[in-house]
Amino acid sequence: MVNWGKAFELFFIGFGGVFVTLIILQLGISLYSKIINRIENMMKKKG
Amino acid sequence: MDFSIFNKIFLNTGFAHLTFGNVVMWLIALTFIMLAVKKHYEPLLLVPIGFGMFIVNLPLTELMKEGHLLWVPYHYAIAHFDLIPPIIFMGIGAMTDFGPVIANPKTILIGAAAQFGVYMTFFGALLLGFNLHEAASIGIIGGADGPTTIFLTAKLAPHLLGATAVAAYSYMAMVPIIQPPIMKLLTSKEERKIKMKKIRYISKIEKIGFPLVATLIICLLIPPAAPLVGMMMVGNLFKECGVVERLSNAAQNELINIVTIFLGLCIGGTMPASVFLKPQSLYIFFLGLIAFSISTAAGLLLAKLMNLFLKEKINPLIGAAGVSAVPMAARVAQVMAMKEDKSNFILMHAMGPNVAGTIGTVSAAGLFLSLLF
Repeated sequence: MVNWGKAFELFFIGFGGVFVTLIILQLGISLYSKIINRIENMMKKKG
Repeated sequence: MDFSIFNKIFLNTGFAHLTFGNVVMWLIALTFIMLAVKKHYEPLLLVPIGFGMFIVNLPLTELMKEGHLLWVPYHYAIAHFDLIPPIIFMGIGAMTDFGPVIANPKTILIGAAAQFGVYMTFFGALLLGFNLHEAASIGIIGGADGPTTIFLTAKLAPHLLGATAVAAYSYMAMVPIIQPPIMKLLTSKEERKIKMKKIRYISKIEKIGFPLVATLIICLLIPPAAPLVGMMMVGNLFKECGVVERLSNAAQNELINIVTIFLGLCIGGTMPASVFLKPQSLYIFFLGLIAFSISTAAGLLLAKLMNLFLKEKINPLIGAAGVSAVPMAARVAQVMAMKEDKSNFILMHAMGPNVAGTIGTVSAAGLFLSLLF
């Protein structure tokens, strides 16, 4: 007998979790890139 | 004349114990080796898998019995201690350029959408009578990521390891056959012609920091994904830091080659006729195909959806690369784009969702583990 409650929990938390994780990863990488680029630009300006 | 001695000798040979199932498995093994040799379908894996399958179906060889040749690496490096899939991931990391993901992080979402097939097939497997652990192992085939499929199946449903691994690698090899009709069906000619802006320059510091940032975020959110993500990112750090060339070379050559040999032989070894020739193996192949197709479609549809909101449109073909199969799926997207416009180069753009798909599949596997254990 399939435990459908657990199956839907796996779907919502699982698929939702993948999306949330990758959205956070996207935001994290964007922020990281911005910080690094800003630092590199500042260093270039300073010569 | 006493013939009992001949009878005894005969009974000690494989001939006396040969079954029809064994012969069928030889033919399947031969097909795998032929596909690898003639069509170049994932030859690095299908050749050892085919041979492993062949040799365990020779009666009395007992290579997969406790303490024997293939049992040892299978037991200690795959089934009980997840060693081989993470080492393969280290090699993959050392061979992967994450530049396209860093340059265009929004393509990561496509990698997430492409996991939809994993979860839809999970339900399909439940409806066909598989339990939760088995269904999760079958669903993950949709991620088109062999090592992750093996990693998850070895923990959740080791008795299905042979069928799920072979299905995953077979569909990865058949990306150029399975994906194009779905890509054509879900995109218009105009959409396939969309040209994307050249990817920006990524500095060395950005590339070196990426594996650390990605590991930090993913492993804090999904700790069970750490073996795969951690190893992939350390491999990538070896590659990008530029000061450990020997380690990088070892990870992407000797190390990955050695473990691939054992992985292939052991996976083939898990397929004696008595285990493999069951209706559930056919179900797994069927469900794997469904998973892979849904994942392809979901990636494409999300790319189309994103175009409704983006100023700079993306070519939806890169959505199909959201399934892991690196770099084959990205190459297929490139071929499809060039069929419409020979001057349209989307390969690097497609690599973004492609590697994001790998991260997405690892995350899905990690979440299955944390929710089912």
